[in-house]
Amino acid sequence: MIGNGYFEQPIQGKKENEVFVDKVTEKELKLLQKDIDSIIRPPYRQAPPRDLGNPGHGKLKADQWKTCIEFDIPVSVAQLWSRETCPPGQDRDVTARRDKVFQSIMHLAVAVRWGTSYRISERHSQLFEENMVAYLRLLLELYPNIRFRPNHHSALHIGPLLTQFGPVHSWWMFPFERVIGILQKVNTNSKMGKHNI
Amino acid sequence: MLKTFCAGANLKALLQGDRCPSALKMAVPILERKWDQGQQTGTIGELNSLGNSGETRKVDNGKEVLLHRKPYDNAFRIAFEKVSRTLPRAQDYNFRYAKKHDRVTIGGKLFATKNRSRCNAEIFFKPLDNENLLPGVISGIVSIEAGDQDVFVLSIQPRKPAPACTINPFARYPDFGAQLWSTEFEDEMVCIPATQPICHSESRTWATGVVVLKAISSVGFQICQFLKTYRIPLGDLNDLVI
Repeated sequence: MIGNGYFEQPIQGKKENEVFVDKVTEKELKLLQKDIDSIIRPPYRQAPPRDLGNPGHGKLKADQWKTCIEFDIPVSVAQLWSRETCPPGQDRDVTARRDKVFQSIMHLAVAVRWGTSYRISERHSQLFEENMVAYLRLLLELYPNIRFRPNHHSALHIGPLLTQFGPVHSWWMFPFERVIGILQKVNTNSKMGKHNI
Repeated sequence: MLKTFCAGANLKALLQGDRCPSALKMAVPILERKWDQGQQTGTIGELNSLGNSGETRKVDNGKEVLLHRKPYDNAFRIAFEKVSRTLPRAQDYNFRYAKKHDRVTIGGKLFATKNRSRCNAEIFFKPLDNENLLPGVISGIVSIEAGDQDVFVLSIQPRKPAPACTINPFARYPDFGAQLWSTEFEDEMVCIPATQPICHSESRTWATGVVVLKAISSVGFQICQFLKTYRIPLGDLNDLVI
């Protein structure tokens, strides 16, 4: 949806515009980038790239995705596409469709909030699942040609795991991501296992 | 690597639990110094926060100042009670000596005055007389020595509510946690002990005179009680589909 289809790739054999018919205009993208730039946040929150949506910034890190979906994107979409803030005189169908996109993003953001709580109960698990299902159903409704990826499937298993393993901070993969980051920065002679430095 | 990670997680859980022997609890600062190594970014900062949830630590020695007793004394009295001590008597009826700081760490997170660092000063806090979280900015950090430790009090400028006519699309999603508030601040400052629940916030301008804010909960943020604070957003899924 943004730039090179960061949210999802089209199914094989289908062109991107056949799956994701809602496009962010250049003007809206500039507004989103301006919004991201103006956010005041503590230094430990990794901000997404200032030119989010342009292919030049490369892949986002897991922390940047987390920040994006927890605040930056839902707030910007709420301002641009929610039915409360739509421009007067806008076509009703366009307003309804854009509001559904807003709803889907909010369901995902709320699911992330329940799922990443530092306290977990049956209710946390249930609400995570409800919001995740609502998000996926809205995706299907908005983009009937979408083919869900394994990540969409595995997201539906997180609910029960929350009650079994407790808060995700104890078992999510962020520590592993960090170690991978450290290992990637280690200088090597590109001859793994042959010669030691 | 997995074994090391699991061992670390077990150790973290042990140190945070009530059953942890006091001798081990005393070792937490030593372990932190060894493990933390200044890493405060992202989740690693949270992971490095061992058994110190809510613990307040000074960053600098501070400057000695004379404080007006009236706004600060109640907060200091409560803060001293929390560490099982009594607030020392002041020499003067109106003033009391204290130390003024620019920064303090609470629960492993750095908080600062608005003049020092705006991004570390934008917070949500729980006032002493209110159960709700309120947004504000830290205008001052003061401390008084209590034996071998310092007792901290924060002075905060709360935000004014957003104008009633403000359109709020987040009202449909209370569980998301974003709120609209005014860019203006209340005239009266609020003083709270640093032991009160407090967390950073993310914010940006929403409209003229209105900001959108969201609290960032973190390890040891005891008021993150979803069960009490929030209600179920979904009744029937169809209600949400227009």
